[in-house]
Amino acid sequence: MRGIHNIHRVLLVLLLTASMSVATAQQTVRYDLDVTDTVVNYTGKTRKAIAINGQLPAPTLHFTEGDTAEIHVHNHMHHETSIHWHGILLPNEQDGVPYLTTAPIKGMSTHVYRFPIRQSGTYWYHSHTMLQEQIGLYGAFIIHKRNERPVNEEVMLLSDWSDENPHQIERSLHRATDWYGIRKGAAQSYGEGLMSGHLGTKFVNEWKRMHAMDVSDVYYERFFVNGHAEEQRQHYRKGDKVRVRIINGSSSTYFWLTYSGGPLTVVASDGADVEPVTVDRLIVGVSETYDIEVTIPADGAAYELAATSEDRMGQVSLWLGDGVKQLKQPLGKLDYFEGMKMMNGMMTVGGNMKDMGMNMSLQQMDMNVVMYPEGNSPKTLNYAMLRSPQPTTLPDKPFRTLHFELTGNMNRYVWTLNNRTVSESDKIRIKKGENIRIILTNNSMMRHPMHLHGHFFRVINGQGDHAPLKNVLDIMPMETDTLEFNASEEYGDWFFHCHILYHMMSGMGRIFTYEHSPPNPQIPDPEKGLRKVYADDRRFYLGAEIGIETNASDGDVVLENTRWAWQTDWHLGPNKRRGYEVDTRFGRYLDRNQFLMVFVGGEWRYREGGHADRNWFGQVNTKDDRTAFNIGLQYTLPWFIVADLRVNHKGYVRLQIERDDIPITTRLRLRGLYNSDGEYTVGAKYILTKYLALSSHYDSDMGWGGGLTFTY
Amino acid sequence: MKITLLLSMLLHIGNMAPAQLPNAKTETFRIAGNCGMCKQTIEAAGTRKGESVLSWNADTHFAELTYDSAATTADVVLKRVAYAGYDNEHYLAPAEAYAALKNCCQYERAPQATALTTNNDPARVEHGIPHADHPSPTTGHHSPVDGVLPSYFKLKDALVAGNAKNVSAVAADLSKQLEGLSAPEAKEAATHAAAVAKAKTLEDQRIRFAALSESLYRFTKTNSPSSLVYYQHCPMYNKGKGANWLSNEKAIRNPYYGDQMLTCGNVVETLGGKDAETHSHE
Repeated sequence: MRGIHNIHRVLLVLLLTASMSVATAQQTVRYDLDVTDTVVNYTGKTRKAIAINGQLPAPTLHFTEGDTAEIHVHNHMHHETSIHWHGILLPNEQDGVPYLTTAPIKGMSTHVYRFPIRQSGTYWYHSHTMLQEQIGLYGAFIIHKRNERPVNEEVMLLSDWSDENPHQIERSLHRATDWYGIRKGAAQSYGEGLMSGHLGTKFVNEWKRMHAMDVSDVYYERFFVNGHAEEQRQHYRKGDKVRVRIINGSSSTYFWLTYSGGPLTVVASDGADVEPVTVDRLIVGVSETYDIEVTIPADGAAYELAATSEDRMGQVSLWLGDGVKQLKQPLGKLDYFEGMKMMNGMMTVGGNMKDMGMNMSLQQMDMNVVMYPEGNSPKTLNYAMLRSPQPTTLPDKPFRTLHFELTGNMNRYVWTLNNRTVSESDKIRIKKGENIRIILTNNSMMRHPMHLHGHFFRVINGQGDHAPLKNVLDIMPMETDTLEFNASEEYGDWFFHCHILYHMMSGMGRIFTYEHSPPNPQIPDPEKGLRKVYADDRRFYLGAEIGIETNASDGDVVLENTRWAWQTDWHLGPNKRRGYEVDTRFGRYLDRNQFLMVFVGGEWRYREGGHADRNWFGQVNTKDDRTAFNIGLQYTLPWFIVADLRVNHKGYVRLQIERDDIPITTRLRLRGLYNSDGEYTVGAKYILTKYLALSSHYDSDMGWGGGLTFTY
Repeated sequence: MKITLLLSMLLHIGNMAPAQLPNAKTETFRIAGNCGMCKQTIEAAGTRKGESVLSWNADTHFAELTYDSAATTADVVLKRVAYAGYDNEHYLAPAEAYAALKNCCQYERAPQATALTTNNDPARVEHGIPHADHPSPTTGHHSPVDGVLPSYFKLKDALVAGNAKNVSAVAADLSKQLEGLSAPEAKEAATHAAAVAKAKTLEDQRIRFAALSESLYRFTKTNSPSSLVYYQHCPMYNKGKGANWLSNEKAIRNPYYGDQMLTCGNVVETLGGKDAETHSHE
């Protein structure tokens, strides 16, 4: 109820008139949204978050088609923010992508959004600034039809929560951390493979240069429905039909929906009505919305509408009815090795996906089912089952076809379209009135919810003229899907991107721009604005692994972005006789899979009392005192063996092969290194926390030692 | 009271907690089930080392739950029991979990749990017809007593278990629910339920419960309930004057004596349900 006082009186008048079915005149509906920093405590730890009108998620906004929305956003924080109206058709400068379409809302300032409401259905709103959505800036945006008969309806706004700072999560993903896998029990080590008879599967998987596979990348401590682990609506009775507006406002979690009181009837998707279709369950992609209807089968019980995270790590429930609670059978745990086996079959050693001629599309063949141990197969919704009640054919205008291949690199967490990030591509120019057809092929190992701002697209799904309208399309690995939309807006720049927050921030998207758009008064310097937009996917991430052991300190620090990497490593002995070595290099990844990097760099080493050795290439080297400039290349071989071939300014050649982080058990890792100077290292570490491990290694120069390794 | 305590201790002696739990709290709950195999499954689901110890009595269908109130809650334990296939006061087992039970363990389920299987009629799902258009065949009507009977049965179960604290809490809820109804019998019953809630001792609660049961019986008789209700009689209570109560199951579990005289009594009349008819018993 905390948000109520902010709703303008006009809304109450509107609701009254709407219920009397006389709301034909234009109404301006005003909301005031006060954005503040706040702290929350969901797990026993106090964490920073962002609230609107003192609540998290933000309050649900209600409108009726034909209203004019006037939303005053008061930013009481010291840093900037933005609000994007997800799925809403509106003038471009109201869309809320900071620096691209709309002025950012600076700290301690107010921004007024004003736009006519031209549609009805279930939508939502969220911050489009960095990772603010992860920590609370999202809410439901409900538009009622004109003269709509009142029905039983509920909002089920789903979200995920991590106690970890989202910027740390993002940085860790770029470092290919396996900590989230450990937390989830999804480390998929060789030991676990051996125990379950999948040792060969694991080996082939790493041979094809794939890390432990999962359906999601982040470990979330909590999942929420409307900000709670569970909610109950007790007033429903036997025979009541309830329309539930489901919104997936999570950062990166897909949710399965199931109901303990019978089947679910899907009546709308992404705000657009579909012909009712009855299923046992459906998956709701990140940022998708579905309206479903369920029926209360009996009195004296509350029935469970359950939303389970796709990785099965958590479940939230909306209980409908009063009395003893009728549970829904939980979804089984994932069998990761079965999924791995399937992936092995579909991945080439070169790192490409092949669909083996299955022509997959529209979620009809969920390859993940191999990981879900289920006896009888429940009827599951897919996009081919969605049918618009009205024809959705586009105006009779010429079509322009665009092909996008969804590409990605899990190891370095680079996500792209056609191997280009947003900042590496030009805007795509479109003409007002023309028809655009987009053919998407997912050649990455993950599913991606692709979202188009400010337009509905038709999903070509075999329903002919009645193809359903959506604004988010979930595309699974190896699928090819076709979307069509008419460039029906007047002007402006419209974002098309993957709605998994961490994929979007790494640059998985494109910007459509209408030709001959007038200057946008909210963006006084469009070039500078665009540089700000591009800066998101150009950022560098810092990572380090520093061992402090009795024989030596081995460590490395890296600073990397989409294409560039600066790597420094060292081996520092306890004294001059053991020696000191430092090596640094700056390089660029060249190929799509980022197996190959070329670099320039320098090294310095000092040791007393060594003797001259002859290397594999017959060259002589004392290793006692050397300062050299290098050029070279690094290539990641099958089984993640990194080969480093370099030559220094005196013509001295070195070849080194190295493999880190071989997962023996859930927490035990081995590593090994060997080079053409005859130097070698073997080591082991036992992971204690995300940042700390017990470690030991033997080095041909430094000998045995043990200690601690810090990972950042 | 001493006899009750002694008996319940004897009943549970084989399942005493191996070690004392910190912040120990003990509560009694009704958990459905049939046999010794059920007992094993129920207790395994409800017992977790260092957290909770559950012991279930196959004759009374009551379970005593002792748990570390800092580590877990009764609700969490009962949810686990339901996931293992057993209906209880907080949760009804998922249809799949119940179906997975061995035949001998498949107890008679509550109507709320069986109602949904008719909704899952595959033919209806296939044609995409909203199920509410097809009223469930087992329930043609819907009565004002349907809303209050579950709470009354919970109260009766609390009396069977002899847990005065639970009795007060449940009676207060029931009284509130009854107050919301307009029928004079309901108002009368609400007053009696409030008296049960206020009563200090178990004996006192049982006296008020007898009066409550009389009013509610008249209310149930005039508003036939959707599912079967059994009107049951204990001839011994109140020095041979006897007393009655309503139950959702045919088997006798005497709320006036609890463990002492659990199965003493008989069914006098059957009310409501799809084929409501009156049976008389000697």
